[in-house]
This record gives sequence, C-alpha cells and structure tokens, in this order.
Amino acid sequence: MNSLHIKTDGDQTTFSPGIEISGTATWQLDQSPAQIELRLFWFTSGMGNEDIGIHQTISFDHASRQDSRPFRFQLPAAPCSFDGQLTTLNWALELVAGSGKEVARLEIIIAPDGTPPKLERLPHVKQKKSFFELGSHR
Amino acid sequence: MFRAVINYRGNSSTTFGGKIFATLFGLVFAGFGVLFCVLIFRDASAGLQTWRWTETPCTITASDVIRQNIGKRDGDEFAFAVKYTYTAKGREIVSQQYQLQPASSDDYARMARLSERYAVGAKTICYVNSNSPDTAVLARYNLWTLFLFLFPLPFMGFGALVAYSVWQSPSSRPSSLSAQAVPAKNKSAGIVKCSFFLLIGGVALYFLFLHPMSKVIVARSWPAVPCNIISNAVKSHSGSKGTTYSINIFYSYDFNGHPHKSNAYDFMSGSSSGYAGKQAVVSQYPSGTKAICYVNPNDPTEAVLMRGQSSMMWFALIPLVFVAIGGGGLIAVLRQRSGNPASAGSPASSPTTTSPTPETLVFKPSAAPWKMFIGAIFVCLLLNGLIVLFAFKWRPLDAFILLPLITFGCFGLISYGSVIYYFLALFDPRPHLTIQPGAVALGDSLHVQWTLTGNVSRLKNLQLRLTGREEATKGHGKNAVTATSYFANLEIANTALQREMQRGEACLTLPVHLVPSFDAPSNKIIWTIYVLGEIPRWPDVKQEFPITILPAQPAAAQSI
Repeated sequence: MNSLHIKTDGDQTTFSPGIEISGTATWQLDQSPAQIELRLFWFTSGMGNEDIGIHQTISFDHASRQDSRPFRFQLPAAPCSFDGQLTTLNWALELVAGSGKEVARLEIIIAPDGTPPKLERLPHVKQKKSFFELGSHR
Repeated sequence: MFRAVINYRGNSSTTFGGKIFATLFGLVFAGFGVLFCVLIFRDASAGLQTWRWTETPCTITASDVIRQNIGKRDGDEFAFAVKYTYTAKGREIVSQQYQLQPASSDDYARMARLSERYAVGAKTICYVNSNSPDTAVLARYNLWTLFLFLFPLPFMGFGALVAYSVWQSPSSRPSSLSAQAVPAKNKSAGIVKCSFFLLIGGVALYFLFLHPMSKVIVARSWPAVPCNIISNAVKSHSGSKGTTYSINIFYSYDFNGHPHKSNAYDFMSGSSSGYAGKQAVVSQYPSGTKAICYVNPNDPTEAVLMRGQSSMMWFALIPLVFVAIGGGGLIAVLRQRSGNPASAGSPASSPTTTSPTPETLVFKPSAAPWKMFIGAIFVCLLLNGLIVLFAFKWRPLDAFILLPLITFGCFGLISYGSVIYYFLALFDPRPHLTIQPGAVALGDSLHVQWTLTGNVSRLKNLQLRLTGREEATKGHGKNAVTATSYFANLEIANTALQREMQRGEACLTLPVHLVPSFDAPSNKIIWTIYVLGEIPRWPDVKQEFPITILPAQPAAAQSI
C-alpha cells in the first residue's frame, strides 16, 4: 500500500507572500521510486480552463522505498491566492512519485492577511459589455 | 452562477451508456477509415503486381480517342483505345490494355495526349505478366496513388483514439495536478491542426484558383485559331449533394497542319450547380458552326474557347479562408507563450509582474478607430459582395433563395450603417495619456495626465475610469468562450469643463485589498484605464488603455 504525506511546520496552511516555509515529506511505497519530487505550484479553478504553473520543484535524490525528507521553499511575492467570480487561484504542495500516479497534495493559501481577496461582481456593470455601459451606470 | 473545476484527470463522470455510444462512434469512424484502406489496398495490391511484370518491346498498331457515354449523366465521355503487339514465349500476342484500369476522362485533351504518346507504329515498352503472357499493360500502376492511404489514416486514428480513451480508467492516468503544467502537447496539437488547415487550403487554392489563373495569364499569348463545333451540351453529373452541371462543347481545330480536338471551354474543370448560365454559354456554340479557340503552342492538344477569367474562379478563392485560418492560427500558436514549465530548483516565470517598471508610461491614441473602420468596410464589402454574387448566380430567384438573401440583405444594410458609424468616429478627439508610475502597486497612488487632440469643443463630458475585470476562457480554438466579470470600477476623473477636458490630471489611490494583474493562458485579471467622451448625436470617444497593477508592497499589505 503506497502512502505519501506532506506536513508543514506547525501544520500551517496559510502563509504571507515572500516568506520561507518548511516541512517534511514522507512516503512509504511498494517499491523504490525512480524519481520523487515535491512541487510548489499554483492552479486555477472556476469557469475557465484550468491554468497551472509550477513555482519551484525539489527533487529528492536516492530516495528509498520508505523515507522522510525535510523541505524548504521560498514563497513568491505573487500571484497570491484570490477568490473571484469566474476564477479562483489556489496554491498547493504536491509530492509526486514516479510517473505521477502516486500523489499527495496539500493546498495552502498565500495571502498578505491570511484570507484570499474575494472579488465581488459589480452589480451595476453589464457584464461582457464595453466600458461605455460601465460609465453610464455610475 | 455556474462554477466548475475542469477535470483533466479522468472521465469518471461518463456513464456506461455514454461510453458505449462513444465507443461505437469511434469504431464507426475508424471503420470508415479501414474500409477506405481496404478499397485502396485492393486496387493497389493488383496494381503493384505490374511492377514485377517483364519489360517487353512492343509495337503500337492502333491508337485513338473514342467517345462513349454520349448524353449519359454518369461515366467519362472519352476513352483511350489502344492496340499493340508483343512477343512472349515465342508467339506474337495482341493486347488492348493500357493499364489494369481503363483510361478514360471527361477531358478530351488528356486522352489525346496518351494517343499522341502511343502513336500508331511507335515502338515502346509494355509489361507482360510472366504467369499469364496474354496479359500485358503499357503503363504500370502509378505509385503516387499510394499516397491515397494518407487520407483514411486520420479517420482511423481519431476513431481508435476515441474508442480507446473512453475506456481508459482514471487510475491509469497520472493523478498529479502539477504534471498538467507543461502545455507542450497542446501547442503541438495546435501546430498540427493549423498546418492541416493551411495545407488543405493551400492545395485547394492552388488547384482551384492559382493554377487556372496562371493559365489565364499565359493564354493571353496563345494564338487564336478557327475551330469547328462538333457537339454542344450541358453535361449533368450525379453527386451526393444533387446534380451538378458542366459546359461540354466538343470542337476540332488544326494547328501547324495537324488536326486536333478538345472539349475544354475555359481553365476551370469540374462541375457546379446552376444550369441556366451554362446553357446560355452552350447556346452560343451550336453544332456545325465555326468559332475561335485559343491553342497552347507548346502543347497543341490543349485549347480553350474562353481564355479569360470565369466568374467561378472568384468562388475558388473560398479556400483562402482555410489558408487564413491555418496561417493565422499557426502564427498565433507559434507566438503563444509556452506556459510555466517545471524546472527543478528554480522558480518559473510568474503570471503576475513583480519586477521594476518604467517611471512613466505614455499612451498614444490607439489605432482602434481606424481598425474598426477598415474592419467594417471589409465586412461590408464581403457581405454585400456575396449577396450580389449569389443573387446573380441563382437567377431566377425563387422563394428558397430569396428568403436567406433577404436575411443577409438586412445584415448587409447594418454593415453599411457600421461603416458610416466608424467613419464618423474617426473625427472624434483623440486621448493621449501619461501615467506615473508605469505600473502601480496596490495601495499606491496612480497619477494620470491626459491631453485630448482634435475638436474637443464638441465633448459634453469626459470620464476616466480604472476598471478591473476577470476573464475566464473555456474551451479551445474556435470553441473557446470567454466570460468577463468586472470587480472594480474606480473613477479617476469626471469633468464637463472644456479646459479640463482638453488637458488635465488626476490622482487615484488604489485599494490594497484588490488583486494585481494576472495573465495566465485561460484566466486573467485585466486592469484598464477607460476614456469616455460623450458627444451628442455623434459616436462617443471610447478608448481603452491596459495597465499593469503590481502586488501590494509588503508594508502596505501589512497595514490591511
């Protein structure tokens, strides 16, 4: 039975942009992995196609079948997590073994005040219209 | 509001019935490809045998072009009839086979060229079946025909892919989300798709327009020769989309003392709908009368009665649409940013700008009014040009043609209106903006200076606003749909004073709790400064200037 696990120091999942985070990646696999990586990445969810971008990757060399490794990432200044009407920007850490079938994911929040800004739809703006409707409603 | 997470990692939501349907669809699709392959293979396997037959000297004893299927709807009108003798296993044998398949065509010149190539008395080579010496051909199987195998392959591949992927269990795919971050595959698929469009459009454009047009140009120097009309008819062709027609005027002429025949009217081959127009042409060339034809001096078997452009040639420009889509798409795909690839140990490029920006950013009036005006003219010409073309082509107009024509006519009228509107908009005052800093961070102040050139006295009111919007695109290519949601609409300036409208400046402090510019392939946060000038009874000034908003500085962020 394969199991992978990501733990941040203090089990923290909300961080300010630009700071350094650390933790431990642990795994127990049926056989020694050819490659095991921890990725810090952002992804979008919502109405549009999913966009994904990897910020940084740590490769754990000479990984044995059962192992535990510390990690340390410098978080970026941007983009920060946000919650829009069409798009939500999420951040996550993902521990990936081999070809990517064995995965553990820990979603985190990167926001200056710990809460992703929520983007409210302006009710008086006709969506999908040009600016000229925007101004005339104000 | 509809919200959904795009599921890249599996199709677990597909029902069993849906899977069966998709599988059948894929198998039928692939089946058609296989069927075509079998048919091509059947012909090819017999034809390829001729390449193992023995080369044998032979003598042509008869060679002519015969008319067949006269007045019939289907079947080629001309066939190459040949007879030749050769010696095999000690006896002289006579054969009438040019190829395994009979050589026939609706184009007399093609058959005439064969007849000239294999003239009576000519010594040439034929290919004799060693196992059956009575069987021989003058021409072996054309190896270029093997390229036909390329056509069913996409059908087979697509069908097989659909049938396979629908049963592929989600667990057999990588469940890593970050593994989806490398979009190279999508880019390759885009390149293949666009290249396919470009190739198909290019080939069609060449054969339907460029080749005939080059002939038209070259034929200007062809000599005019008297010719005798042998027969004239509008030939009918049965097709899957109904009957089509072609001009079929058969005539004879002498060139350099040699008699020739042809049935080419102009440089456009093939058939099309519309009987009346072709009948009108055919009536001008009654049987037994004399006319003038134009003969290619380098190949006297080639002649036409009409060497100018035909109206059909302009319809043959339709493949240009494919060329434009394929070429434009290819450029767009190649210029596309290649995402944020994973690179071990080093940060990837960010969709949000954080780097230093210029102190000042100057915006000149955009070319949008001119672009809109030219675009409106193009649409107007295209739409109304097509309406006129179709109206002439399908005369007399019946109800089935008239109704869509009237509908298109309404759009045609609207397009005239848009041309006038955008023409008037060209004379609007033009805004010039200067912003400081060039990219402003959330929580900081944005300083905007504006100058309007042109007749500002006509303006009733001027507004400058900073707007922020989300844009999310679902789907790809022509199926892509983009939704927009505005979350910020901040007033920078709003004035009705003549002096301030002509030149002014204003300052706006950006709220720190909003989000900076974000530019991912399908999801964006876009900030723009809009300039709106209201002009009574005239198109308003409407210009949009995109700007970059940076993340809040740490000090500002901490003060939330």
